Amino acid sequence: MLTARGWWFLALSAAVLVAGVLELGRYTPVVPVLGLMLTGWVLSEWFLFAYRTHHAADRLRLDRVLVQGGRVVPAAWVGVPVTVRATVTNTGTGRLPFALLIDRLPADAVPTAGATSREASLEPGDSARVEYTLRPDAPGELRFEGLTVHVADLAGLFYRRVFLRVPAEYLVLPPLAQHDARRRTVKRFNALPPPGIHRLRKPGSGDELLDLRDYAPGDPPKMIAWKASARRGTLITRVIESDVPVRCVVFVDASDAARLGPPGRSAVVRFAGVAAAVVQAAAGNRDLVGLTVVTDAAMQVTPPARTKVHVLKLLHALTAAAAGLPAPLEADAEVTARHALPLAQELYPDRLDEAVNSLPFGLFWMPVTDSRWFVVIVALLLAPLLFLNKNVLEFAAEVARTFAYPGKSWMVFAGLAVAPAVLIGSIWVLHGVRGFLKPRMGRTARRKQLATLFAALDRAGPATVERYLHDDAEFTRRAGDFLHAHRVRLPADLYAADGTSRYRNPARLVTLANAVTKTLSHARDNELYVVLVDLTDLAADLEPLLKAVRAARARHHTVLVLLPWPADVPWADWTPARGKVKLAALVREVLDARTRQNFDLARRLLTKAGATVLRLDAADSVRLVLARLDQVRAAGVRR
Amino acid sequence: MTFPKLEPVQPARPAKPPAAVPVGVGEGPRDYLFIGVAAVLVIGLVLLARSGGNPFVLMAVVPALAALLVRATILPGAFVVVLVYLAIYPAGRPVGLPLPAIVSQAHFRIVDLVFVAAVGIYFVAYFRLTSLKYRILAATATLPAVAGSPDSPAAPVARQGAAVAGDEYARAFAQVLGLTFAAALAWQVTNVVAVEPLRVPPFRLEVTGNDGTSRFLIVAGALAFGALVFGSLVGYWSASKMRPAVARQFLLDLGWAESRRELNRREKWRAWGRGQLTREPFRVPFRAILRILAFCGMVLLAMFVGGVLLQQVVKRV
Repeated sequence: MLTARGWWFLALSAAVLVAGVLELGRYTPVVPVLGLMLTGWVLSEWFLFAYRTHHAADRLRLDRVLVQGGRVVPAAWVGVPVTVRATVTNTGTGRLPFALLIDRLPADAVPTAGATSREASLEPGDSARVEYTLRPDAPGELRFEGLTVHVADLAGLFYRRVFLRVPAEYLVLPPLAQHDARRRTVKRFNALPPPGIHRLRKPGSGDELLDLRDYAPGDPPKMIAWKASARRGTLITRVIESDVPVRCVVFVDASDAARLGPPGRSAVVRFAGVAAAVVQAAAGNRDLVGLTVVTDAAMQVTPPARTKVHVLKLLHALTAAAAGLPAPLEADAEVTARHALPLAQELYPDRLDEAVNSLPFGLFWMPVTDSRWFVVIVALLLAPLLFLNKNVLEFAAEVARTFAYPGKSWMVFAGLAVAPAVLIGSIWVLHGVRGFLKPRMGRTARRKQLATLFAALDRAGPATVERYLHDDAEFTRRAGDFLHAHRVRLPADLYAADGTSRYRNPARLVTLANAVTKTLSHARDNELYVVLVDLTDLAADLEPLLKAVRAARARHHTVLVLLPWPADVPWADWTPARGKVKLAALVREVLDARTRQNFDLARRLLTKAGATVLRLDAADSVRLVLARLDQVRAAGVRR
Repeated sequence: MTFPKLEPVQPARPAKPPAAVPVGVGEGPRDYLFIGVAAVLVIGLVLLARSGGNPFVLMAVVPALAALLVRATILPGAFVVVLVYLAIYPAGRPVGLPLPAIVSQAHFRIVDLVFVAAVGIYFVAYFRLTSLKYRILAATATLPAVAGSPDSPAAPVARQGAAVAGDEYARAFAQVLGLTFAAALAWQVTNVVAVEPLRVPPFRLEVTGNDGTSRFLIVAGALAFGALVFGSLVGYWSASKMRPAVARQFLLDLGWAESRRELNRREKWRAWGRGQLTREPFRVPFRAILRILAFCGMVLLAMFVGGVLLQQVVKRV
């Protein structure tokens, strides 16, 4: 397309050409030749630019890699700088004298070094590289959509934007075992079994003495406690404890409610961080560790194991859980379109071009047959039939005699006959033209362009385009999915009119309780269950979870529940404000008080059911979990 | 559980910029500045020769030189307007003078060619210099350094696009010279070919010269015909080179455009049917009717009571 500079220069050249050819050429040939030369120069530049964009800009290839420590890696780690290297190669036969390459950063990523853009001149076969460094702060996902290439001619008369759409997703794994998750060096229990072993107070074949009993025929002689037998004068047999591995299962709530919050600071991200530390620490102690990720309606179970591959698998599962965004809420179709179109224009400029995504005139015309005015039109069409009635005809004649000049009454009759047609035409035009006025025209254009894009992406037919144009619910759902897939959050009201969260879903506690129960059914001995769950707004619906906790406790398992605390809610107790109170502050205090109330209720109920409840934002959450793991290993026996 | 120890991250090796020099001071901008000034000098000399040595005409080159040095969009336009003026009135003083004589249509001199080519080269140098000094695209605009501002770069370095290819000058000169000769040739053609729309064929040779309307028709027709042919070729070529995904969307859009009236009708029927399903059955609004009746009754009662009272008052009076 022509730039502003190109437009004014083309207008100037054309003006000189027209003036020279029409009139000034009579006096001097310089003016028309100058006009011809300048216009020809613009046209030749245009031709060259068109050739280059088709033979080079459309044939650019993008290769992207993440580099860490000088080698290409498939994923990044939290807190470890990673270099993003995007290489653009001109695989066409044309030459791009000027190209501005701008890499599109993942959502909320900020480069710590390097630049995300550069200018380059790309000959056929040439490559240009954009390189910068990111330092992810939270586990999740880095989604790179692609790279924008701005192409221009050297004079700056023409311009085109191309987006090299090569989506790439890289997981940001939780940090590797840090100081709080490393193996403890402080000896808290006197008789800790070796790593990976858990004392179970049942007879078995371990090392520790459990009990002494009278000798029974058939007992192996090596189990006879000779000293005790000598003291009592009868044979006494030693009973040895059972040694079993510690099994720890982590339950992570990855429901939509837990995914709410600022990017990188949602509850599920914090869950993933703590769970990753627990997993690595447990694996470091050769304990068996499993993971169950629970969403609103489903669960993903990874049975306990202790291998390195298993730990990496768990880290990937945690990262995938942390990377999820909450499902889009129902929103107004126009609001959704206003958010989706800029994204579509950025990522799919070629699909929104009017050559392949047309906006015909008839699209904006509003047919009167769809409106209530159609009844009026039908009535006007039928109006001449009234003249078939004798009384109406006489009345019309009387009117004509009254208002018309003598001998001109036919004009009134003609007017009465033509008036319905004129009215129909006026209504038809005025109603139809409304579609070309703001804001309706923009709304229709946005909707049509997105509808065609969505239908093309889904490989659907023309009927889908029309469906998206007319069905608000369908369009909103698809546009929400589009934004969700590209990790763009649609602003929506999170709270319903009664103050409850629109993501409130008591059914997810049923899913979580089912997950715990399912794990119980496979449990072998005393295990540790670490439940990381967000119970905001669900304190009154805890019964399914309480039942599962009671069942776990009844089987001598240990249940540890970690509840997140909202970052923007102070932990201190509420004190009523004095003096003038603003309404917003009052609402905020009420919401905070409700959060505290819910938290206290959940903690009380869970504690009563036998679980240990901790606040997740405590600095030593991981240490507390590991200490509890040690208690389980020692089977509660202190020596 | 031990993980492979990651090596310390090496800082990314920055790509070596082709020209790490301040914006607008590099080799490329300087060369184009000299080329532009040289073109202006040639233009000035030609104007001086055409005016018979009148130094006043040199004022025309002031906006051209200023445009090379400072950034003002209006200056090149003003330069062209002044050039056109001086081309008609070489002496530069039209007041009191008759209109210039009509020259022979075939009249063309080498100096005129040099003049046109110099203007073309000036504009090539001007636009390239603008691109190098300021910007090609809005996204590449270079902000001036502000002392003390933390966001301002201490020394703005040249963009990588500021590198000027070695054959760039030769290409630009060849392009301008070729276009100048082509324009001169086209002008000669327009002068000897007259258009007569009512004849078959609608052209004839006119060796004695042509009128402006005929010339305009030839130029406009050539441009329109060229645009038609060129547009058709480019359109066909673009369609043949279209990527599969875009081509699929093109066909989808075409299919929608052809069937949208029928589909539109179908969607409206669907919406109507859905509305029928979700619409609640009609109920007689008994409460509303009762309220209206009660209101009317109260009004009637009030009127009745008021009338009776008014009657009593009137009787007493």
